[in-house]
Amino acid sequence: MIVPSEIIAASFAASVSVPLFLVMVSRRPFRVRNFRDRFRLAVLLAIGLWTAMILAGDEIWRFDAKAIGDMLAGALIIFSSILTTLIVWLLVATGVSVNLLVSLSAKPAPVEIDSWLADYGDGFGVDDLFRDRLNLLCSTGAAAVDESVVSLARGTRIPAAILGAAMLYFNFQGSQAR
Amino acid sequence: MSFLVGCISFMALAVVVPAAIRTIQRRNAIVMIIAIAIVIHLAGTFAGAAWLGELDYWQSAALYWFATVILIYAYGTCYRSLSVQMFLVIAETSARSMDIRSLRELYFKRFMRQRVDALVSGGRAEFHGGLLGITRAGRSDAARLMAARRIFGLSESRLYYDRKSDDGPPAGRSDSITE
Repeated sequence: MIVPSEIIAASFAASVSVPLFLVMVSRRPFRVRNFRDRFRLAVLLAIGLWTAMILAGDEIWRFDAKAIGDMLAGALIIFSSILTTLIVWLLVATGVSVNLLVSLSAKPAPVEIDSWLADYGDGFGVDDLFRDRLNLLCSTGAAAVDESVVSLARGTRIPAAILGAAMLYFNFQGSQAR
Repeated sequence: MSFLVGCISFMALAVVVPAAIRTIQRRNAIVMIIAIAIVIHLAGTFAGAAWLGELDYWQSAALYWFATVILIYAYGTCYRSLSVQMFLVIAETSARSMDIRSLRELYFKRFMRQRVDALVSGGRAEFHGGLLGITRAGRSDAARLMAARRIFGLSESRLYYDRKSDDGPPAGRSDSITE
C-alpha cells in the first residue's frame, strides 16, 4: 500500500509547512522578535494546519484501525519534520563551527587565532560562548554554579552514565579530543 | 503489524550503525548513517511486505524514520555539543565539580581549538605562517550559510542567551553565572 491516504498526505503537507512557517515568522511583516518564540509559533501553526486538514477530511471520522494507525504515523511524520527543522535551524543560528566559518570569511586577511577567538562573533568571543554554554547546561538543571565552582546536580549520575554509553555506542572518546 | 516492521528495521539499523562507525573511520558519520538507513529501510520494507503479505508502507516508514531522526540528533549531540562535553568533563572528576576558570582555560578553549582544527582538516581553513585564513571551499560554504541565515532572518552570529536580544536566560537559574 504505497499510495498515501488522505491523513498521510495531510501530514506531509503539514511537515513541509514547518520550515515555511519558520521563514514566515522570521521575516516582516510577521516577524517574531524572540528567537525561541519564533520556533514555537512555527510549530504550533504547523500542528494547527495538520489538525485542521485531518479534521476536514473524511478518513478520521471512520475511527477504524487504519485511520488510527495513519493518525499515529502522521504524528510521527510531523514530529520528524519538526526535529529535522530544529536541528538545521539551531546549527545555522548557533552552531559554533558555523559561526567560526562565517566570522573567518568576513576577515579581509588571515588572523591570529587567539585574538580572533576572543572576539569572533559580532561582539562576542570564546569567553562569552563559554558563559553561554554554561548557562545552557545550568538551565537544564544538570549543573549549578556556586561562586567560582560549577557542580553537577544530584541525580545526574544516571544521565551521565547514559551519555557515557551513547559516547561509547557512537565510538567517541568521552570528553576527550576528537 | 506495519509499525512492528518499522520498529524491527530500526533495531537492525541500531545494531549496524556502531559496527559501521568502527569499520569506516570518519570524523563525521552522519552521511554514512543516512546511507545505511536508506539501505535498511528498503530491505526492511521488502522483507516486511513478503512477511505480512500486505504492508502499510507509510505506517512502517513513519516509525522507522522518526526513530532514525532521533538517532541522528543523538549522534550530533555526542559529536559536537559543547555543553555535553563540559558535562562529561565535570562528571569524570571525583568530586563531580570543577573550578570555572579551570573548566574554561583547560578544557573549553581546547574544545574551541578542536573546532578550528576541524575547519582546517575539512579544507575550510588553512594556516599561512601561523595565521588562520579561509579557503575557497570555506568561503563558498560561508556564503551558503549566510544565505540560509538571511532566509531565516538571522542577521548575525548569536548565542543561545544573546545579550543583544530579549532572549534572556531562564529566570532564577543561570543569569548569575560569573566568576
